[in-house]
Amino acid sequence: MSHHITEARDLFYVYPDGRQAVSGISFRIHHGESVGIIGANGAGKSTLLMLLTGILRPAKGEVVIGEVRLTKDTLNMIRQRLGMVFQNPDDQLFMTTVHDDVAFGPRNLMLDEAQVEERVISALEKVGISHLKDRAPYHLSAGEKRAAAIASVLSMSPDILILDEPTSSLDPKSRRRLMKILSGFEHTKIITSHDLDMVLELCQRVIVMKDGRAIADGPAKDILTNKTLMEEAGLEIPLSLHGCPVCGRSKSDAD
Amino acid sequence: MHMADALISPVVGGAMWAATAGVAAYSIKKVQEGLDQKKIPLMGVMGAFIFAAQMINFSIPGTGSSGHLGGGLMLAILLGPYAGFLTMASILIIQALFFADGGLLALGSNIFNLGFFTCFLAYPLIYKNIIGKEFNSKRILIASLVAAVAGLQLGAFGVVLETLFSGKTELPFGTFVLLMQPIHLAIGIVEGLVTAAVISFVWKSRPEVMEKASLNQPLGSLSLKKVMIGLAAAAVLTGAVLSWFASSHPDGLEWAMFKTSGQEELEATDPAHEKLAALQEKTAFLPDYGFKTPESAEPAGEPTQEKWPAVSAGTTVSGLVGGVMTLLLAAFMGFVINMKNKTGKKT
Amino acid sequence: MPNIVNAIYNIRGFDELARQDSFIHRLHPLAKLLATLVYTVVLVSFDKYATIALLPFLFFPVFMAAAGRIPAVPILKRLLYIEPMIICVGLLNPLFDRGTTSILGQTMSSGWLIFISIVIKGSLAVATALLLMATTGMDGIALSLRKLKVPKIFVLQLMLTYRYISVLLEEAARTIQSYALRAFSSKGLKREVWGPLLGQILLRTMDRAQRVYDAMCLRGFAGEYHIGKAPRPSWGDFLYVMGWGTLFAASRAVNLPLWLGNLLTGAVK
Repeated sequence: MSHHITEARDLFYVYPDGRQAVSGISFRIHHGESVGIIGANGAGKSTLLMLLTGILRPAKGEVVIGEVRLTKDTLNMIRQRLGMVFQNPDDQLFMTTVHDDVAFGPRNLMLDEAQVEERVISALEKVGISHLKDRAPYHLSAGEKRAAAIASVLSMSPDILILDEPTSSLDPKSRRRLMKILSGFEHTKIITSHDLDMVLELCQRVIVMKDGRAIADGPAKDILTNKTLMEEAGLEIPLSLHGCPVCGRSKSDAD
Repeated sequence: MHMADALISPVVGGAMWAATAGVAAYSIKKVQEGLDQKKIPLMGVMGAFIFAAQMINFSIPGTGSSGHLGGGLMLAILLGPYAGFLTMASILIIQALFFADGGLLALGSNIFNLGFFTCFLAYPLIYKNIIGKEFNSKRILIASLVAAVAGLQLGAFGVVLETLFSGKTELPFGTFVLLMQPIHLAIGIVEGLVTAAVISFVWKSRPEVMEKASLNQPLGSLSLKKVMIGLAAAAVLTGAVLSWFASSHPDGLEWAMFKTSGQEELEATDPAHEKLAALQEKTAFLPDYGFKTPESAEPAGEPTQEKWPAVSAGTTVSGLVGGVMTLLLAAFMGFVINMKNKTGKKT
Repeated sequence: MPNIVNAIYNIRGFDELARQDSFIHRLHPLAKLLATLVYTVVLVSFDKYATIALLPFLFFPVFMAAAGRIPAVPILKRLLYIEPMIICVGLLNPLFDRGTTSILGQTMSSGWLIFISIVIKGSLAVATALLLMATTGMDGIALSLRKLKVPKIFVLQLMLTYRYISVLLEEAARTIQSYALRAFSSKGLKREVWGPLLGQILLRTMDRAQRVYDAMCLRGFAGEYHIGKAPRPSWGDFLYVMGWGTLFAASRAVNLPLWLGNLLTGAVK
């Protein structure tokens, strides 16, 4: 459990239609770190996540997780340590009940049924939806679906959690609940999002992507307050850092 | 049209179930041999897509009416015959369960009629031959139209044969064929046009999808074709023979089927039958009426008029009284269970 | 459009009913499936002129509905929906079969008799199949399919189709709605949009299938579907099937209503 370093070494990826989605990204993420990956639409965030999880294979460069290079042979081993939560929970919740979905991963690990049950219960408890165990996915609200999707990954006991737009399509209250759940995890977290306020709250470090490249990598507070950098990336400063719309007083002034 | 439980006999239903199970087992084997795991979720989600697409109304130009998609041909084109057949089977199973389209016993026939003919005959023999080596809109249109029409004509003819062999209706063969085939010509044309429109669109916007679909086809398709045709012929033949036998001795064969499955039970009914008859003769006011159900009286195939025991008006009364009593009893049972449920809830 | 919305509510409605708890719901799914199958086979094995003799077959669906606490309305509604088709085919009989037959001492058109028989058989078969679903649910069906040794891969694929029907029906409904809002017509899709509209949904569906596959692989899917342990059928389940089976066989062998009627009218005398 000690050194789960996630490393991208000069990654390149070109789609079959010739579009260069990721062109030369490198970073090292340490155990327990919480990193936000931000950038405009089409900057290559989702492609990067797919490269990290081995769904796509890089044209050049390599992914190293905990000192093991991601190759065809190590894929299964590495995937057990990674938990990826998809942007659309409907893609991830493919079974007919929450329980079966959360149990899908552990069952593939060939655990016996008692262990599977234990993992399911503990995963559901961690995200606070034990009462929804036997529900069908269409019964759940957007927030509950997201929680179920996270539970389906947690039941695999991953070391690293990768979340693609976790707060999209959530109402404010569900978003707040989700952020509380996420901040309680000790896992390494890699989060892509347009919800910059969430990134500011949950991540210590931020990587800014533009046209498949990382144009900045550093502490979240420094990057998210850098107006020129944010505008260059097609983003803007998080709302919580904006001046008060009524009195005009800026938050940073108040600090 | 779906084959319905109300029109099918157990023998025909069973024979078609057996044929369908055979084709399905073979298809599952083929899909698993293909070693393309990706196909499982693709089949699953595509099945849901076709299910949803079937609900859409397509207005037919120049007629003011609208038609629907069946989807068998489209599935065969996009997934190949084996996966296409299995996906169609899933759709029909869900329809039979949730919408009672057709029913459980007729399900085998429906999967065969709507899946087999399109996926294993119309698609490989017609569609693929017309498309040939290269795609273009015109070829897609012609191939889809001809294949869809042929597939549905075969399916409709299947319904006709299954209905006739079942012997649950009195429709003359000629009339039924003349009724079914033209209706399904119209349905087939809509099916072909919609399929062609969608396939052309996919081919234009993402040619790689179509290329991949045709690449996924099994290699030795020629010999497989023969196997499949042989299988189909065997199924049709068994069905036909069994059904012919069934229609000439309806009770005989069906009772024989029961005997193999639950012998003791059946033999037990015979003495009981006699005892009941004796009892009834003692108590009833029409002692000369033989205790026979009308349908077990004579083998069918005889002119219908002679089939029925001539009985006096007394039986009418008993029949009606008994029928009403049965209905009342059924209602009473429902009522009692409901009451019990309610009191059970309170305690 | 209403078609799609109806389908969504229909499927979800049955799902809800199947999640209730009752004696019937607690039975092993396989027992319910087998009982229903035996019922259907015996029911349709009756001769085409059978009418009164079919009435005892009402007990089984009534029992399932009452003991399973299934409200009659959704079942009857669906029955009404299906009925026109059964009636249509049935009605052809009086048209083509002009013979007469004697039933219960009365001369009757044999075509009409077949018609009545078809309607009774059709309604009973449909009601029972729906009740099976309302008390068992799709998960139960999957479980019984596994018990019947249907390959797991097929079961997985069936369940995926079931799972995504809900999602795709909603997607189709949204797409059609946005079309209808601009086409000002509720008649159906015009031919020009058949390809693009359905094709778009299809391509999105294929992308979704890819993501679903990715999600499965990330959680260790390798072509094999592992399912948890299925409960074994108990003696109660066995007795349930045998009990009903015996009743069905008895009703098949003996025209119970006629016997009952004879008994009653005899007793009156």
